[in-house]
Amino acid sequence: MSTRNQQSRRPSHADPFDERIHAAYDRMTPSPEAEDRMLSALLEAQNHRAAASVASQKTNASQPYADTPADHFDIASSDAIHFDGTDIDSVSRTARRRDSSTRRWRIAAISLAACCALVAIGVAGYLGSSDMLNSSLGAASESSASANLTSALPGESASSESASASGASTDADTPGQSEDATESSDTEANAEGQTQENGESLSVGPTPSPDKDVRYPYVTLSSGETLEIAKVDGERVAASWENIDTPLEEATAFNDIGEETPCYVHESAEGSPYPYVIAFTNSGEMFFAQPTDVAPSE
Amino acid sequence: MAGQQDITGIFRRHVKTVYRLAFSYLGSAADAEDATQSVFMKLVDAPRTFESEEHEKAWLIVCTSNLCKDLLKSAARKRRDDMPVDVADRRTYDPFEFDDVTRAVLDLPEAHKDCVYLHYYEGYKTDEIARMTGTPPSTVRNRLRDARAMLKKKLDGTTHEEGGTR
Repeated sequence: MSTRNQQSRRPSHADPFDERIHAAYDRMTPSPEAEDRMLSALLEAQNHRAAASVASQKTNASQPYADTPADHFDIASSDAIHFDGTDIDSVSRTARRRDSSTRRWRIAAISLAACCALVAIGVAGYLGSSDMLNSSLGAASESSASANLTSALPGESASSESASASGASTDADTPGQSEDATESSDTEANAEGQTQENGESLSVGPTPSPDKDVRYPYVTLSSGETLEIAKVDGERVAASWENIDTPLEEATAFNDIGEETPCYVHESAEGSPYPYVIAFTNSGEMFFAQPTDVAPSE
Repeated sequence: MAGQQDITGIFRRHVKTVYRLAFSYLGSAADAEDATQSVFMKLVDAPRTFESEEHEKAWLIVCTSNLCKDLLKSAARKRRDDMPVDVADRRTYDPFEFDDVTRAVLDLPEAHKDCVYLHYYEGYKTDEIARMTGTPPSTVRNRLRDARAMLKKKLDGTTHEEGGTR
């Protein structure tokens, strides 16, 4: 027997197929015993918390300068929630958005540290190779060494490939080196593509490194929507800090074989070609992303 | 803290909705009961004021969806760690416990479950579902269309053995 919900929204299905689906959900209704059981547990927990709250307030009354539970009360729950049909939010999503400014600083600090580390590795690599060259040829030209240093920076053409290659080989965060090595041709092509796209969009952000993080091309948001890293002509579309507008949430990127890595999802700035930017926590790499209807298998 | 009467009233009004949605995600009465209690406990721990019963219901529905998705992710991660990678069965329920239609509904992808429940059972329109879940209306329509196609494909040609599941 169908259960009419109290909002009188029970749809009248003319289609027998729809009625069958409705009936299936009807069979998932809890029994009255289950309802009573759940309510009893709920009220018991509420009474426990009320008693604990009273006890702690009595304790705090004798220590007027101590923190009270009210000091740590959830801000979102203390005010009426304005409902215009567009502001519905879950508790977890509200808490995440409230922490967005803190998270923004954390993201900036992590990315800056990653950028400095990669630049330092690249510089060290060139210093080392230039020393070897000087000693083997017996030439000690400082001007040529400094020219090599400046050309090691991202955005330049020929030197960036070897910079990213040396970055990959010395990057301690890279698991599965053999996997990356087999994709070296794609990696170099990708690095070259990034520089040819021109350094403007990459002038701010981490040094291009092998696109190891595109091993994780999917992200599922807390809303249930799945994003996929954007591709153009088979190449992943890189992004930078300039392309970010609003941070959305911390998430986990994954691939078809169930591997995962932490990341942050941002809304992209106006004028960007794609609606989202995904920033990988470990590498600092950023790519554009867009919703996908293709459900990846795990 | 929400008064005892308040929580009881809210519970009585929406427990069936929350429970059914949780069941559709988790596939078992015990898990659905645990999830339902967890959702209402959020109100006990952090009371909030709602503008209307619809707002109240919408909040509970979104909370339930998010909680169930988190539970399923944790369970999947644990299964992946504990079991060989070549084990294909990802179900969280005993398939022999339910009729064909219920099984088909339980087998829907996670992302589709709340849209299908809200539309086919609660009677919400796509725009209402979109506002409630924070999903673009086009995505909601795509999911409903895809879910319907999946259900029809699974149920076409099967004998209609529909009975109780509790």
